[in-house]
Amino acid sequence: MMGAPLFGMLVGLLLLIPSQATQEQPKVRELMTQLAAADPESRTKAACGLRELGDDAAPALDALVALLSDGAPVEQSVCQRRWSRWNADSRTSPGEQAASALVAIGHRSVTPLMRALKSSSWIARRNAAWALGALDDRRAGAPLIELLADPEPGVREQAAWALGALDEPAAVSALVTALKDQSPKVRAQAAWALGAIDDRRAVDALVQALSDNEGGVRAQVSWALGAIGDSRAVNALLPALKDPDAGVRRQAAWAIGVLSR
Amino acid sequence: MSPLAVFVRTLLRTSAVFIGTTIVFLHPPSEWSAGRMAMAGGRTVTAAKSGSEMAVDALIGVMNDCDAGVRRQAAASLGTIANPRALPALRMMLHDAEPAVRRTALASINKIDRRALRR
Repeated sequence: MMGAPLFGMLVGLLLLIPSQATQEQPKVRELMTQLAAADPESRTKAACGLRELGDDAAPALDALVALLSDGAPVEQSVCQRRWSRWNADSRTSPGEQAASALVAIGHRSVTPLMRALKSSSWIARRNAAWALGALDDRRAGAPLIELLADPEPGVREQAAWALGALDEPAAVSALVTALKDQSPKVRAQAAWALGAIDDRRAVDALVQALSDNEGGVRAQVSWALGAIGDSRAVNALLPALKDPDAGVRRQAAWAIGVLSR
Repeated sequence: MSPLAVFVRTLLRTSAVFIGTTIVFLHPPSEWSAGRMAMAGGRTVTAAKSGSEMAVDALIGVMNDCDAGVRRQAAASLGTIANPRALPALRMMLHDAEPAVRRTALASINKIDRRALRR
């Protein structure tokens, strides 16, 4: 008796779903026009809106890739949702939010993003590297390794992060080279990536990097040695407990505990 | 085992009690010979220190660090290593000025006690 109305409601719901999906299309088109707005706030907001649509934002893929080079600083609060990144401050940019929307679209973004790694704008290359790391697609490994030789330190730093996020074992030797990068941020990020990839081939180079002249790098290197978990590194870490930098001593105390258990 | 070896072992055990009961616990029987050789050579027991003991001693060395985060992490790591050799230092850390250090030291002491009971 009660079955018939319930069945009717179910059919009604099923009919409703496709009609909602077709309503998304004009929304995507509206947001796409906003991506080209004159003020950076509107462009950022549009990219955030497209991110909320996830896979449905696929028609905007090319427009989003074009926006990757847009580094205009915008307050983080323009987008409702909090979003963080390594060394993030309270600022974001249309390009960063476009990268985030491309990650939400998913694997279809990988090929256009790999093309964006060759962009003439370093901001586009950096944002593309971040998105490829967040998408966690192995195809991006080789081009990201190449990117470790980028002339821009910010790009090399992001490439090192992405390779760590991809957990790419082929990147170990390139990241070991990056431990001697002229930029301390790149060296620290390379050490992080080597710890994340967790490959024992990196231990000797990391032990050498314990004598880096930058405290932040030494702390990250100590962490990486603990993360890799090769107990041979303990003896090299003991002097780090007397480091002038408290962050290094803290990280070394952690690593020594992990490695001697 | 010859009576002489038994005697030397007992002697070492009792002398170790004087140095600190903890040492008796932590040496597996195979390390007794190393410890005895070090004593016969007239050198201190440090000569036969294992890697873990060196780590424990180094961590105990930062228990008076000026940074509370370092002291807290050292206390946590001493619990991770769970070597009873760290107990006297950890008990002293129960009087640290920083509550987080005291809490971590207590947690580490409990960890080491539980590990010793399981052995």
